Amino acid sequence: MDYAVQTAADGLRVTLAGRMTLVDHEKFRAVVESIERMQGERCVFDLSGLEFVDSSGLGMFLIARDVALPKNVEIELFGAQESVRRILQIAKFQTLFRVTP
Amino acid sequence: MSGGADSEKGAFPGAPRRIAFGDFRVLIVDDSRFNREILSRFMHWVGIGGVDFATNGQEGLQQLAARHYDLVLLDIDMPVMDGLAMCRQVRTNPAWADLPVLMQTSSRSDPAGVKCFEAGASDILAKPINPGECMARVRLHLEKQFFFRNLSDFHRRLQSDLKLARNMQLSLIPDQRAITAAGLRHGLSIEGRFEPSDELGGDFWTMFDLDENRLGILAADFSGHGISAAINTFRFHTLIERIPPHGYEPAAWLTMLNRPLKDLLPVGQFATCFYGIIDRAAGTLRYAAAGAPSPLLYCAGKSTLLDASGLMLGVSNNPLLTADEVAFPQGTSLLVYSDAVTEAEDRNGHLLGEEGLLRLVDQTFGTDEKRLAPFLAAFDTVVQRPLADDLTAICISRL
Repeated sequence: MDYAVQTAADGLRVTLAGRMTLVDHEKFRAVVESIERMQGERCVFDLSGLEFVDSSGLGMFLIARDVALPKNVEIELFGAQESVRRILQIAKFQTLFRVTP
Repeated sequence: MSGGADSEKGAFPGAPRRIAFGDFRVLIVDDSRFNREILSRFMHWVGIGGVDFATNGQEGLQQLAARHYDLVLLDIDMPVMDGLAMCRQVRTNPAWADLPVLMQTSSRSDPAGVKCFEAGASDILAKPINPGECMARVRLHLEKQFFFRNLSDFHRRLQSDLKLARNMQLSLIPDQRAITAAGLRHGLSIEGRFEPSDELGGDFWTMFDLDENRLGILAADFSGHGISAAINTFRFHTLIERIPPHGYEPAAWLTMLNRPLKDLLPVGQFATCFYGIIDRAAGTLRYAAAGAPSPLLYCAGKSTLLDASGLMLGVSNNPLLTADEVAFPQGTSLLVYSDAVTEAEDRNGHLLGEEGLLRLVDQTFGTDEKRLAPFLAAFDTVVQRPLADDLTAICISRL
């Protein structure tokens, strides 16, 4: 998985690309730390470059959410490709995150 | 290794202290008494705990066979059997393949030590022996032995632990006898495959004989795989023993399991779950699911994917499950599988996906009651092994 974290006007924009799996836990920790430090109320994950996410990857989003909630930061999962969108849908992630096409 | 003070007493002044060699034993094979004494003193300075002697190659081999040595200091020119012959003999024994053998070479007869290395020596010491060089090389080879041995001991211990744990995990899953008995009692053909990707996995499945007409099937997949996921399956098993499903609707029971899992599992860990009750008298399958891969219902040559979406167990105190009831008449099969099936990659690196699954079922589910084996055989020809995740597949057909 590759990631890029940018500060946006209303918060943070995180771009993820490639395959998000168990081995990416360490990398994702840096993303979580950015959320911990961020200002603003919105954190958008741009998933358009993400090809695959497994159950560990879903777990990472849940960890991000756990950090964002007490800061009143809303997490948006944006632009997921079909296969990733299907996985988010099976996990009913639209009930925990703002999932946008 | 013990770093006892005894082994340090004779340490050569100024020698850098690394690991203590008090537990190590060195064999000095030399026909010159003077050399044996000199070398012995060097070994003492290194801190070697045990030093034994032999005066020729044959004696040396006898000594090696009689007890364990960590290193051999070997002279070349000796009566009865010389050092080169002994070294060759040592290397023919697999148990001594890694034993460090340091040979003393004479600059006249074998300046580069080629003959020694050809005979299997680990290293050479040029005569006249320089004390500092001798000790440094002995230390180096013993350190290598030490680290190598530690690592392989650790590896062996881990392997045997994992093997034990794997058998423990397999014992959580219904064995063939239980599967056959449940099948006979309920007029079902039950087939199961359980295949962790490492020694241990995060998948779990089991059956519940609820009454003479109803059989419960539970499949769960904990996030991640390997040891931590496997520990969660054991926790889950304990939880089920404490909160059995008898008397509950599928959704109600999964909701009851969710609460303790939420408390137990750290954020980011969870279980996808499917629980279904096949009711022979009513001809139905009632199920509830929490983010499980869509189970497949096969009836009269037609496949349907059931909705098994939902928040995974352990994520939220308010689980959002899917619950449904579908007809399960004679001739119907239910295929429940872990995401390793649909997330497997074909030879072109594409995910198999639900489309691929449907295709495989279409090709392999025939009239025969044994459906899982041909399905998995076809699966194996399509996907790349090894799989990245734990594979579980259960197929239940109503005869």
